[in-house]
Formats: sequence, C-alpha cells, structure tokens
Amino acid sequence: MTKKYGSLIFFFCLVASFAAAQIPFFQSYFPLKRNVPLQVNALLQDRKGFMWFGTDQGAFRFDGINYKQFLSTDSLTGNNITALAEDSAGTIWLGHQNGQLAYIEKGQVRRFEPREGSAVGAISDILFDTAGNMWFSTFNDGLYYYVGDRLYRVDEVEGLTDLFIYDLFEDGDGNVWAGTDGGIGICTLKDRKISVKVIDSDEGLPDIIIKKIRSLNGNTVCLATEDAGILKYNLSTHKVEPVLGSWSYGSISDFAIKENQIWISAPRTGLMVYDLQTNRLKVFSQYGEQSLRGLQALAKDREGNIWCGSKTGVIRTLGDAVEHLESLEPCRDINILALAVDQQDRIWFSTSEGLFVRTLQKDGSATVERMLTNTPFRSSNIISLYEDRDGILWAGLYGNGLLRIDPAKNSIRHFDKELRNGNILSITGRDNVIWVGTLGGSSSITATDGNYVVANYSSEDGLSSDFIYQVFVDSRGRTWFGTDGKGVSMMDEAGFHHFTDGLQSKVVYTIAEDQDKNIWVAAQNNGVYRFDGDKFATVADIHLRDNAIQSLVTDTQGNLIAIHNFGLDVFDMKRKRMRYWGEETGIRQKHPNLNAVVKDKYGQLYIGTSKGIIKFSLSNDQAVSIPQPTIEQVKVFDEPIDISRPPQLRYGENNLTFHYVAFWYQNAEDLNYQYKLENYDLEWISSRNQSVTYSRLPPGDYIFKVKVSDTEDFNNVPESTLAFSISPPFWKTSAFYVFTIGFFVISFYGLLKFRERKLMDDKLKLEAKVEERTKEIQLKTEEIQAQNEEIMAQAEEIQGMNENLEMLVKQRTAELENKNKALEEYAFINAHKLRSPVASILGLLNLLSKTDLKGDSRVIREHLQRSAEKLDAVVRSITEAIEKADKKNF
Amino acid sequence: MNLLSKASSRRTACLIVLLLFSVNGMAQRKLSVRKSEISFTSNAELELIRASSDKVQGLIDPTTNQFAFAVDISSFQGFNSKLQREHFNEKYLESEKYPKASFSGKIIEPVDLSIDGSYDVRAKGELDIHGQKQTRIIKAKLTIENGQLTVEAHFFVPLADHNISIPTIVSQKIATEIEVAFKATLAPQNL
Repeated sequence: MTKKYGSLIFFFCLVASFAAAQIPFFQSYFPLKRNVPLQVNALLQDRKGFMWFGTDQGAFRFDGINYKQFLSTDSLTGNNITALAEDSAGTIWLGHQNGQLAYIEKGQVRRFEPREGSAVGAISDILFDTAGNMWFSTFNDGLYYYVGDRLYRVDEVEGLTDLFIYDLFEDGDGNVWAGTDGGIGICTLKDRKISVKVIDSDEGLPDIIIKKIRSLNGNTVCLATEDAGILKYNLSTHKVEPVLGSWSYGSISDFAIKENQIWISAPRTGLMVYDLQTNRLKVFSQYGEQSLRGLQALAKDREGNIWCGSKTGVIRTLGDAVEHLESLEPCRDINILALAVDQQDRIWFSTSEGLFVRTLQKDGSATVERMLTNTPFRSSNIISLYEDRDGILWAGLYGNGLLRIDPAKNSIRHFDKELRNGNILSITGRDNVIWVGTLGGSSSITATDGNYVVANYSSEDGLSSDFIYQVFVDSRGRTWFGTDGKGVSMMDEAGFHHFTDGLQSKVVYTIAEDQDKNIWVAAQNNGVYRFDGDKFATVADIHLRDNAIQSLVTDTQGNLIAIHNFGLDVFDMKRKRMRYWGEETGIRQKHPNLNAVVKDKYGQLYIGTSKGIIKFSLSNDQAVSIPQPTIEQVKVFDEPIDISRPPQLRYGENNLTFHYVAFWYQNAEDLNYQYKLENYDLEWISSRNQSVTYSRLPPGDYIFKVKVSDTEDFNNVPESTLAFSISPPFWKTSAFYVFTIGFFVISFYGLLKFRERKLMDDKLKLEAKVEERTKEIQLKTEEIQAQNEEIMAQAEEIQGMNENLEMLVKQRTAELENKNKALEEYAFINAHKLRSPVASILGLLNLLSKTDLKGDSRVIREHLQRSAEKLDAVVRSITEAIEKADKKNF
Repeated sequence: MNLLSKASSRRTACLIVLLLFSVNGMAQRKLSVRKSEISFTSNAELELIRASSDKVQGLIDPTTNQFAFAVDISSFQGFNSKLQREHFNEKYLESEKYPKASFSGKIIEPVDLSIDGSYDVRAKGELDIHGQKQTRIIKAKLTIENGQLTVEAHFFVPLADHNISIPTIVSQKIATEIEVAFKATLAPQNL
C-alpha cells in the first residue's frame, strides 16, 4: 500500500541558516619559536624539496621538522627578505626590502654586488630565465636583468609603463613578463637588446594593476589583479576573460594553481579556493583562532600542499581534499546516519532530527534546510539514502519503510506494507530498479511508467540470511547481498549463489566494485576481501590500520578506500601502495557510520560520521605522490664530497656519513627510513634519523640505498641510491700483484744470471790464482832445492871444518899440556928453589936486627927487612896460586 | 660606419642643444658644466697608462633629471709617450671618425637638485664610445651646494663593449677594462 504526499516539497521548511564553509585542515609553523610572530614575504620550494621562507628576520630552510635560519652578517644587506629564487645551479637567491640581492653559498649569505650598484626599491621578485639570465623586479625601481656581468635596467625608456613591478613570469618562448601598476610588460631579450611589449587596457585588461602571473596551462596564463580578481589570458587569441564572473573580494596578494583549483589570497577576505571543474568558490577567513586574512604569499609544493606566508608565520594546508562539515545548523545533532548527493550537488543527510539538505552558495557559504517538515516523517529516523538516475531521493526509514522523494515535483511516496520488512539498512539501484536491504530480506522496486512492482526476497527465496547489511548491484547487473553471519549472497539470472569460503567473519558489512569489475567486501572486524570468481580472499599488499571497516568504496583513480575509525586507508590498486589519512587531517576518531558514504559526480566522497560529514576528494590531489628520499650529502671524515657522479674513494677514505632527507610535509613526523649499504649490510636497517655513518669500510664497490615511508610499510616505496667504491690499498691492487710477481720473476732470473756470471767469474779468477800459485810454488820448490844444495854444501864444509877443528884441538891440547908442564916446573922452582934464598935472607936480616946498628945502617936494615918480607909474600902468593891451580886441576 | 657615427655624435650634439635651449616655462634652469675633469687609467700587467681631459661638455635638466655629457677624444692629455697618445687617437679610439665620447640619459633616483645636499644616484643612459653605444647604469654622487652641482662618478669601460680591439702584441700593456673617473661642477645656465 502506498501513501502519496503530493505537493509536499514546498513545505520543506525554508528555515535555512547560514553555515560556515567547510574548513580544510591547516597546520601552523613557527620557524623561530612557538607563537613568536615572523612576517613571511616569500615562499619557495627548491629542487631538492626544501621549503624556503623569506621573512623579515632572514631566510629559513625547512625540511618538515627542522628549520635552518640564514642571516646576513652584512648590515648593508639586511635581513628583511622580500623575494626568493633558485638558479639553475641550485643556489638560493634572496631579494631584500632595501633593494639588495644576496645568495647563499656554503651556508653563508653573500651579498651580490654588481658594479652598477643595487636597486633602491624593495625586490618584489627574482627570476632565472631558461637562458640562465637573472631578472629581478622592484617596487617602484623598475625591472633589472643581469647579462654578462652587467646589470641593465628596464624602465620607461624601454617602454615599460610603470616602475612598480609586482611579479615576474617567463612564458614558453623565454619572454619575461612583468606585472606592473600599468599592465604587463613582456620583455624580449635578444643579443643583449631588450624590447618591451605592453598588455594593458587596450588589450582588454579590465584592471591594469597586475599583482601575480601564473601559468594555468600551456596556452593560458592567469593574472591576479588589484580589483578584477583572477583573469585568464589566452596566449594564442590574446583574449582576456575573468575566471569568476564578478569579483568582490578585494585585492589579491598571491595565488597558486593546484590541479583544477586556484588558491587565492585576498588579504581583505581571506584564503579562497576556486574549483575550475565545479566552478565553486570557497572562502576560508579563519581556522580556529587564526585569521586567514592578510596572507602575503602562497605557494604550492610538489606534494600538493598549499603554503601561506602571513604577517605572523607560515600555514600549510593539504587543501580541501579532506574537509569537515560540522556546522550544520539548524541541525544540531551531527551524527550523520545516511547521505546522498543530488544532481544539483546538494548534500542530503539524515540525523536523529530528521532529513536535511545542504546547499553551497556561490560565495562559498552553505545553507542547511530541514526537509519533510510538514509531513509525518518530519522526525523519522532515516537510516539510508539514495539518489537514483532520475534525481529521485529514496530514504530508508528505521521500521517504517521507504520514501520516494521527488524534489522536482514536490512529491513523496511511501512504500511500507508492500515491503517485507520496514527497516531499510541500505538502498541502491540500477536503471529503473531500486534495491533495498532490510532486516527481513531484500526487496526490489521496479518502476515502469509511474507504476511500481515490488519483489521481496528472503531466506525462503534462497537468500542465505534475512539480515542484509548492504545490497549492491554490480556493473554486470548481478545483485550482491552482505549478510549478517552468512557471508555474501549473489543473485544473477541463474538464481542465488552463496559465498562464505575465505571469509573469516561471515558478517559482511559493505560491498564495492572496482574499475576492473572486481568485487570487494569488508567483513566485521576482519578487513577486506576480493572476490576471485568463486571465493573471497585477502590481498597481500593491503595493510589496514583498523579492520573494523564501516564502509568500502572505490574511486575512478583506481583506489579502494576503506573507512574506519582511524580515518581512511586508501589502497592504490595499480601501484599496490597504501596511503593513510587520519590524524594529520583530523579524521581520526570520527566514528563513521555503517555505509554512510556517497560519491558525487566529481568523485568526491562524503562520509557520515558521528561528528559530522567528512568530504574527501582525492581528485584534487593527483599531484600527491609518496615521499621521495634524497641523498643530500656524503661526508668523508666529516668533509663533504661531490656526489654528482659515483664517488671513487681512496683506500683510507673509509669513514662515510650519509645524510639523506625525505620531504613529506603533510606528515613529516611519521617518516620512517630504511637504509642498506649493498655489499656490507645484510638487511635493511630501519631508522628515524636522517644520517648514518659507516666507519672503517673495507675496500670494495658499494651502493648506499635509502627508502622512506610515512607508514611502516616499505613495500613498493621509492629508493634513492648512491654507488661508490673504495679503492684497495696499492698493495692489494692487481697491478701491484702483477708488478710484484714480475719483480720477483725478474729478480730471480737476474739473481740466477748474476750468480751464474759470478760463478764463472770466480772460476776464472780461481783458475788464474791456482795457476799463479802453482807457478809460485814451483819457484819456491826450485829455490828450496837450490837452498838444499847449498845447505848440503855447507854441511860438507862444516864437516870438513869440524874435522879440521878436531885436529886443531888436539894440537892445542898437546901444546897446552906442554905449556902446563913447563908451568908446573916453574911453580916447583918458584916454590921450592926460590924460597930457600928468601928464607936465608930473612934469617940473616933477623940476625942483623940483633946487632946494634946506628944511624943510617939502622934505617937501611929496616928498609931491607920490609923489602925481604914483601918478596917473601910474593913467593908465598905464587906458591898458593900454583897450589890452587893444582887443586883445581886435580 | 663613418656616417653612422657622425649621425650618432650629431644626435648627442642635438640633445645637448635641445637641452640647452628648450625653455621649460617655470622650470628650473638647466645646469651646465663649468669645470670638469675626466681621466682614465689602463692598469695592465706591464704598463700603467693614465690620461685626462678637462674638456667635458654637459647639461643636466633638473626638471626631468635628464642629462648629457660629452668629451672630445682628442682632448685627452697625459699618456706615457707622445706616440702612445697618437696610437690612442689614431688606432684605438679613431678620434677622427668618432671625435666624441658621450653619456646621456636620465637619473634613476628621483632627486631634487634645488635642495643642498649630497645624493648617491644611478644614472641610466647610453654610453657612446668609438661609435658603439651601450646601455649602462653608472653610479654617481651628486653634491649640491649653493645652486652648484658637483658630479662625481667612477666606472669601468670594457674595450670589447665598444669594439676597440687591441693587437695581441700590446695586450699586456693595455687593460681590457679601462677605469674612468669623472668629476664636474655644474651651475645654472645664464639666460
């Protein structure tokens, strides 16, 4: 039985209230100290990936965690930086408030001093063109370019209409565009000659104050103006048209283009994002306590983050990929039970208070209207919503059946009794058939020319269970049922099929189909499964943070998105990579409701949670990739070395420190690294540090590899590698071996030769010596012989002499014997014959002494006495001598 | 070439004449050179050459901050020898063909020449030497005292910029960049 509530929609109460636009997640950065303000004038991401902030207190380099401040010690240069640029060699250039330029070399700020002097106006922009020339623009001091060590100025003499220049831009032909207070000056430099072409109101510019110039695509340039908003300038037709019809948000300070979005900073209004696809403009004037008005600079990094430089610091947002729709007044309960998006991009949602619709206004604000106000369903609990191909909204009630709401005709039709069960957990459809999953089986409603045919299916008809969490119609027209406890049922032309194999939990909450027509399901607390044709199986590369999945959906980019209380786990099916969205985007602990998810025609997801609606659009984040590691520096014994080519290190240069970095500003704190020194480390080593030191590396060829992940999952992540080699010591080189062996062989051979020659020499010498000696000996022998003969002769002579001598002795002896005899005779005579006269004399004298002699006679007698005694003594001594001789002889 | 250069020097002359005689209503009177000295130094490896001239003509229009200065090449005196001066005139600068060197243009910085004081300014203009024009920015110091203006400037002239070729045989005696010092005193023209 159906009840018809005709002409009802007008009773949709128009109690609409102005609700603030959904606010994306913003992150504030404080390069100096928390809450210490810093005026940020310029932003730049260098080619390595570092973010640079040009501030009134010097330049800051940021890697996501650490800041490095660069201050000039030169008082002339100052530290108020108004422009930043990177040249082709990777050197960072700083433009200052006082017109000075500086660059960073070896960590030091060095002043750039052209002979022509410095500009006097603040530097507004620096540009290195593809030819390598440096250009810089100033506020009210014209445009300069530096070619061949000389500085030139472009001003009114060359045809520049104004000296107040905001921005520089190089087009595809190498021309430099200057956005000025008097339109655009397009400068062409040829052979050091400059020519300037002007685009101003004559060319159709509605506003000639051009604040920023950015390329939208190859053929279109976007111009930010003072009063006319963003303009599109077509390079081939030279036509100018505004991006937005009318502009009432005031002067633009900067803008950045991200995929289909233009992010605009209008200091008076705030930060805005204009979607070129949906033609929607959103305005963010503040987040939390922080104002988004007065932003000076915007930049998009390679991850897709939008960086904003303000008067107080830096703010980053990953954009509106994730948005929180939490202010839904007049709906106070923001526990969103069901969601649908209609063809006018309005969001229909239900809470315990009833059904509401949220409409986005052109200015970026949103209104929320309560629906069904004058109907019996004003406060009905709507637990499922679905918009069919005709723009009809189907609302599933809790216990009261199904509503068919036709917004165009303002009519409602209530299906209740014709359905087997009135608890509509899920609604889906295909062509003119609507399917509902209930707590009492499933029903289909087929509409033909305003007539509805209802068919009910239950376990009696072949369903495995009567409790159906989700009903899903796939691209081949098969209807899938996620049941409570009985796995998955599927109905095709052949009837019902049941699948429980491979499902650990048989409670299946949610079903999805990918572009390759694979069916995926999520089971209660059990993660996701893919249907392989006859059973369900898990997929190895899927690493979920939480297995309690509330909804499972796929998108057109080939992602499978699992929604749970930790946020979103996105599986890139082609690259087999997981990507997680959670804390950093504020979608953790939001308690998403079962199957409260809907995808709009742009591929944006709306997720109903107990804390409002989360809008999630991966399509605006195609630039988002995954963190890429870079080996930034290698030091050998603390001295940086050149790594532009594979380093060849000497033996002894074996203490290496690798500094690597990865940029993942959206979640820098969660970066994990793994590194491995190929040919040294056996395993990958996990680390959260950004450097590693290897000391006393043995000689060899190595490859240092580092990979990075913002999760614990290191599968399919990019690597950065550096090959290098350490030479062996010279005594271990093959050349040295060859040399050594050669040396030994030659030495040995030489030695042999030398020895041989020496032996020969020795032999010859010896022979000569022997000969000489022989001769000598011969001579000596002869000599000895001669001497012998002489000796013989002498011996004979001596014999002769001996014989002669004997004879002589005999003769002498005889002579002596004769003489002796004569002597004996003489002695005898002497002793005996001489003695007696002497004795007679003595006797006589004795007699005479007795006579009295007088005078002279007396004296004579005395003298005679004495002489006689003397004679006697002589005779006696002779006798004694003879006696002695006799005694001797005898 | 000859004709061209004559034309260019004529243009400079014209500019000076124009500046001299354009009567600009209530405007300040133009300032013309009363006393001047321009000298150049070639500091080469083997030889130091200096020469100077006091025959600089010139005008500054205080209302538009435009200026024009010119000097006769042949008026330079000094050098290390007479022959050197001859070479300078005949071979290098070809003073018969290109009798004047000039610099004319506009002062970049807005400066009020009726107020006494000292100002560091940059002059942007065309430097015409040897018939070759180069757009240059030259730093100068202006000092105004009792209506008298003193201009001082110091700059370099690369010979290659002005198509002045030096035979390799004397390349060690002549610097590739010539240092120029200029000082002039200007006073309002008498009407």
